[in-house]
Amino acid sequence: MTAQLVAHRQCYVEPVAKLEVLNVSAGYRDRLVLRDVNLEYGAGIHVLLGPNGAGKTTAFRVLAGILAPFEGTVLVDGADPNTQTEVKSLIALATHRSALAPRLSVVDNLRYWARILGLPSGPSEERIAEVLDLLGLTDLADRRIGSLSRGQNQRAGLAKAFLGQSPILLLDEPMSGLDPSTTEQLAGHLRTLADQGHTVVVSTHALADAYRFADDVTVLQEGRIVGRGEPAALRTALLGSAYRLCIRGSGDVPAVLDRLGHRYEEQRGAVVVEVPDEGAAERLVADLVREGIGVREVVPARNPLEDVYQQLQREGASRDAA
Amino acid sequence: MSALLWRMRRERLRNFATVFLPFVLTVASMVALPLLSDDSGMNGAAGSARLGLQYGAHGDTVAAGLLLILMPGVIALHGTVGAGLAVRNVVGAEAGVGALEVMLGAPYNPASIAGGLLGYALVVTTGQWAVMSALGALALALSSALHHDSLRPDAGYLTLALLLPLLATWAGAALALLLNLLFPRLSQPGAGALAGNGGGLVSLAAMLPGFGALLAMSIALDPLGPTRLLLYAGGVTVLITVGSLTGIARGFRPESVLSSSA
Repeated sequence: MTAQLVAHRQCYVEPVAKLEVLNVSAGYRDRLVLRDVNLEYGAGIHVLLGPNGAGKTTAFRVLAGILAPFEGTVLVDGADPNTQTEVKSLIALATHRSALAPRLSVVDNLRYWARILGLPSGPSEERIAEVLDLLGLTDLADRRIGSLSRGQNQRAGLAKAFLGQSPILLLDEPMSGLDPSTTEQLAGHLRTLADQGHTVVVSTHALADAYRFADDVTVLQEGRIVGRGEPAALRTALLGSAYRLCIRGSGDVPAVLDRLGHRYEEQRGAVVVEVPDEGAAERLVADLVREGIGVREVVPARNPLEDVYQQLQREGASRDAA
Repeated sequence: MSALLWRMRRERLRNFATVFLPFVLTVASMVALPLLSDDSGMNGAAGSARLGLQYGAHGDTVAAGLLLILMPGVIALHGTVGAGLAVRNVVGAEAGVGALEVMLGAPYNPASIAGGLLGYALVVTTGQWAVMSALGALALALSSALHHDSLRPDAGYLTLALLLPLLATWAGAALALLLNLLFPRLSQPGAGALAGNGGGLVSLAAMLPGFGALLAMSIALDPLGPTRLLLYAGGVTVLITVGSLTGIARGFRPESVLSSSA
């Protein structure tokens, strides 16, 4: 557990709703999608990562109590949502489709869902105004859903999920279609909710986003969990602590690296070097500066989760081949 | 345009052909009905005249009798068309945007969602039946006034004329809901389509109780009388309704909605 996560857990203001998935196999009629999945989610931001068809959407459906597992148990705060439907009120689900009526305005759609969720009419008007403001939709409140862009539609769908202030949020691909500034705002809001004790489960293809805001990442492949942990810890466990750095600077960087005994690759005006750990990276930068190189940029050669993701996929493929 | 025609051909002319099915059914009944009449020489006019006379028509007994025979059936037929559309529009639209999936994630079980949809369909179709019945009564009153008649249908006829269309409409709604929930793809655009608009097959199936009511009124009112006809035809519609609701209760599974919306 990271220090950051510990700090978050110390400032919870609401009781935490826990999600547990115990030995779950699930799917549709005779098609098995999830195989023997075990998960436990508490407060924080949890990212489900996996290629198309890995079972992320099915996992969300099982977590939300929409799809009963073939085997195993799902528990929401200790209760099975498939038999005790009232615990579903602890969960808000945003699917990859907005679930909003195209001919109704944004605000009327939210009123409709407030009724379905059984929110009292007076407070729900205030709450609708809050979520519209939160997602930058106030100016679009009276626009019909059908006339909105994909990103605006996505925001309206998220507004629906935020309406009920549920302690558990299941957001399937919430960042898809959002512009960078809205993505940033949404990530900030999810962090605030996690800090308040909400359990936020997000599926995404955007590895950069996952690395930046996830407290932990679960990698799904062909319905199985092939890796789980904090992004950095997951990376270290799978790949060791080595880093590939992309360095840009004034002066002859390759010549200096030769002199210092580092192996490197030149890529589009930059030099990529592998170092064994963070300390070695700091020493390398200091050496370059001492050798007269004006270091302009040192960044990871690519998103560290990308390496993790590819390594897990390679392992999965070789396991299947065996 | 050529691309659209190519697509229609690829879809095995489904969109082109299905639009003719209701038309073919109606024409077939127009051809078949006189053959079923036991008064072939009069093509049913004698029965209509008898009914008109029985209920007080003097000016044009055949026209008044035909109106009395056809009006409940026409209301039933249009009521079931409305039922099919109402159910398709709500289930198809909700499934199409993924709302049924989110509803299943709300604190409701599948039975309560199906019950809510059924309640909605019954309220809408009952409202439509009430408006059409009022308009039908107005049309009968107008016809009566124009022919200087004073139509006074008996209680048996009035009960039949009001109840049979209502029961047929409810049966149409239950049948449409059964098909929409068990096979939601049928209500999606492009599936089971009527001229490119989704849900044609569901609408057609929902129309059957209304069509049956129209046929029953045309063929059986004169020989059976209103009370026995209500018992038989009404019984069939009740059976359809109960059968559909049983089918929904036993067959509706969340994954049928999910697999069609995922």
